[in-house]
Amino acid sequence: MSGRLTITVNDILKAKNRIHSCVHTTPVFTSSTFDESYGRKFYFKAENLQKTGSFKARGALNAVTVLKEGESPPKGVVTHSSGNHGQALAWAARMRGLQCAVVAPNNSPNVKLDAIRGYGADIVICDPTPTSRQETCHRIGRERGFHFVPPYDHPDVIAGQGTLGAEFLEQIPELDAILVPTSGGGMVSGIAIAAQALKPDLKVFIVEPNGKDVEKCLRAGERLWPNPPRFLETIADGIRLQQLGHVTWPIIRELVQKDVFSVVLS
Amino acid sequence: MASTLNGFPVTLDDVTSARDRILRHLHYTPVLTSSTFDSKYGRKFYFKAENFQKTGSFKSRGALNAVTKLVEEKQERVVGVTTHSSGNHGQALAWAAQHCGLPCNVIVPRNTPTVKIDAIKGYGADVTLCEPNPTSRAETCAAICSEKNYVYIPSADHYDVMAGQGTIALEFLEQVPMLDAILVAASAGGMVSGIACAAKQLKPEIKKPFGKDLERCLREGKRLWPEPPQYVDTIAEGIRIQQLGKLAFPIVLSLAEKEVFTTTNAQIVEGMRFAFERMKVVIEGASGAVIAAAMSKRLRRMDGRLRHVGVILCGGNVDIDHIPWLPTREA
Repeated sequence: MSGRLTITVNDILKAKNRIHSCVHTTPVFTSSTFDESYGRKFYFKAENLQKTGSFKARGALNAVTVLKEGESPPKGVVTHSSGNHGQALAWAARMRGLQCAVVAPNNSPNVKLDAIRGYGADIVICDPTPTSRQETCHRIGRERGFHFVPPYDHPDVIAGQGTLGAEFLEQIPELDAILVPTSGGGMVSGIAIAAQALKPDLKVFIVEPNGKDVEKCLRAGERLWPNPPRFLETIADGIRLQQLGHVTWPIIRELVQKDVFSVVLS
Repeated sequence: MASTLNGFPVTLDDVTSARDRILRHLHYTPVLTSSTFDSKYGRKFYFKAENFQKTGSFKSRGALNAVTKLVEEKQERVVGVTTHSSGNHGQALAWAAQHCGLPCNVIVPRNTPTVKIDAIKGYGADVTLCEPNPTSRAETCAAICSEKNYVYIPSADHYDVMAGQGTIALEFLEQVPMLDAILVAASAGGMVSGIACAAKQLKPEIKKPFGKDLERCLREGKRLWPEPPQYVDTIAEGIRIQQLGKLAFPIVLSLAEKEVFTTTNAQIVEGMRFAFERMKVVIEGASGAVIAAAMSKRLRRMDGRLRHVGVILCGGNVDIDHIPWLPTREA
């Protein structure tokens, strides 16, 4: 598959209209101590304060809203998730009156599973491998007539995450660069699309756990990761995927900086 | 002896002047909401996040107003400032003094968390340790005043400090004009006095740790606490003082509600856990106490017309290696 899906800033603006009244416009924090220690002005976009406790609420709600407003809305939605997307989808489904099932690996933190159940979704446990997640997810989708909403490889999810970038630029127009932690790449793709349209000079940088090797792939222009897809060893349980997604990869290759911040997190 | 107020010792003008003096040096802190909390506790709650304030608590407002005003009025004759503090006011005063280019000496009880002592030193102030009781604090501070000719800026019982804290109310009412009530943690009462004076039309309700007996004092209109001043046994080390200040007491008596919310350590922990886990904010014990008041059966039973309730998250200066529900992490 050559080229990339055309997701534009217009998709992001439509996403904003769909989700605006349900998600928080999160604050931006500053710390003069941090600025003095590290020699630049830093702005912390506090998506930890977002609905469901992560930025994922944006993409999930946009995707679910598009489904609900479509010609034949499904009975429910299903996904596989290490936690945050599962929680976000469960919440988004409840907001729009759809059912939800979440496939979660058997080593997910209990607090994340409880939160997903708290939003009324059904949890289905699978093995802690990307393959088991996907297979279990497709089975549940077939059995229950639920539509699959992936955590990152979907234009409506990417556009939803992109609203974060648009918001950040409204709040801090003088931003020169944004540092984005990256797993499947949904958030960094959305932010990069927003930035390209709204402030082309803005540099979007990926931050990865050690072992993801995104810089090598970006400089080679090729997906160099081994198959089947693996998880990395890292305490940052939200960014364990080694590979970028297939929809997100061409966007990132085109729009994101080749210098990648690799952090040792094990 | 309590007397009724003739007018307000801290006027709305004092508070708006304070705001003009300090606003550009401080954060206009956000108001956070939680739909989970609202559905569980049956009202709309608004959390004013002063834990995000400069120096990690609302105290920087009062400290900066008092020091700035002092310098405006006395100029070269001010050699330095001093105070005694369990931590947050000490840090705030050190920061305010540094901001205004003044030396500062803070008297701190010797059992104050190290993180708070380090923070005070981090702003360039000297620290003098004293015994952990109100009398030793006052005496050690007085000694520093006379030795170094520094001006004493108390943490609460000072009208310029109260006016500074009152700016919280101005902001809060701008952000949430429909507030019916505000829950405020009280130690010596500087914040609740400032907020009460600024928000005359509102109904500030006072939150206190168990053992303070504030409600009894308010209902009888008298300072009933034993002398000498005591500390209350609570994990919320920011609100340990049993007595309200002498200037604060008449204001609180006149303007605050007589119903006072009491909290135990277990309730404080529950409040803190909610903030950490569900709201993703770091708060210290005193803020946990106010959340516990918002969760309380007592509030539940109160007037249903109190639809919009403000909760002041006064500070976030916790030692992250000494979180109450976690095992202590050895350095």
